[in-house]
Amino acid sequence: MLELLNIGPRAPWTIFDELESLQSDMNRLLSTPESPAQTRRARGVYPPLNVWSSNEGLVIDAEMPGVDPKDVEISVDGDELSLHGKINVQEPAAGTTVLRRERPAGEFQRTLQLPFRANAGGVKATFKSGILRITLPISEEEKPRKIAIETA
Amino acid sequence: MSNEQAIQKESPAPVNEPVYVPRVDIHEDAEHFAVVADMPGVDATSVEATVQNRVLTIEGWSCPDKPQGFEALGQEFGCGRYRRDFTLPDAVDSERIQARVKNGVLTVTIPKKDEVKARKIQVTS
Repeated sequence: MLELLNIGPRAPWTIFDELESLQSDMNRLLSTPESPAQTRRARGVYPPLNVWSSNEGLVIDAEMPGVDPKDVEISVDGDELSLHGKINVQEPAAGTTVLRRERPAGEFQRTLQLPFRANAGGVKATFKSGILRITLPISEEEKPRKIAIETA
Repeated sequence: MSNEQAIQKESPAPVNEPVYVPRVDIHEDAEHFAVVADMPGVDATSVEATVQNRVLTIEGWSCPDKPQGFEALGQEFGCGRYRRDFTLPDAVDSERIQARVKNGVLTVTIPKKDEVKARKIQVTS
């Protein structure tokens, strides 16, 4: 009974919480990444992206664990951002047997339509813990500007 | 420090977070097995590998880091926990297992016991 009381202050408890935790336990037990619900992304789209926006432009995070930044090409053409490259293409060392291969490998290409023309010269990219972060500043001429109203 | 970062520091495995099964490659050579797991967003402070009763468990936690002053426009990956278990064969030396994380990839190297390593037997005539 004590455990039941420990559900915590953020109750109301609902059956859905219970179902969700049951589902995550089941996913863990089954331990195969085949169902898209339990993988971090749907198959077929690489890399998965998070897009953040502000008045200054966009920040785009791409999940690319293990990629060598040298193998990734980022290009910005007007209002189109394109990511192109290859992942996990190195052959295993001689004398190594591959027992299982689930990690994506090969070439990828993903293009994103931006809501503005980016200032190509100001684009920056950093890579940390398998996440590539691209900062795309909006070009000066597309920045919203305030129009002063003249009084007659 | 933003709220999100604070939460990330104090709570490595919150309840009801989605649990992701990391994709792995498994390699074997004469001396070792190696488990290579994609766990984007984790670093040495947010990942763990444990061995108990011949079960290797890898676990990690990551949460996208929202840039200051920005709003989310679209999210294809979110906060969550990674977890996966592996049953190890008998013939491994669980005392000498090593784990390393780099660029969001965890590599666990599992040495084989000496008696199961392939060795050449000299044939005499």
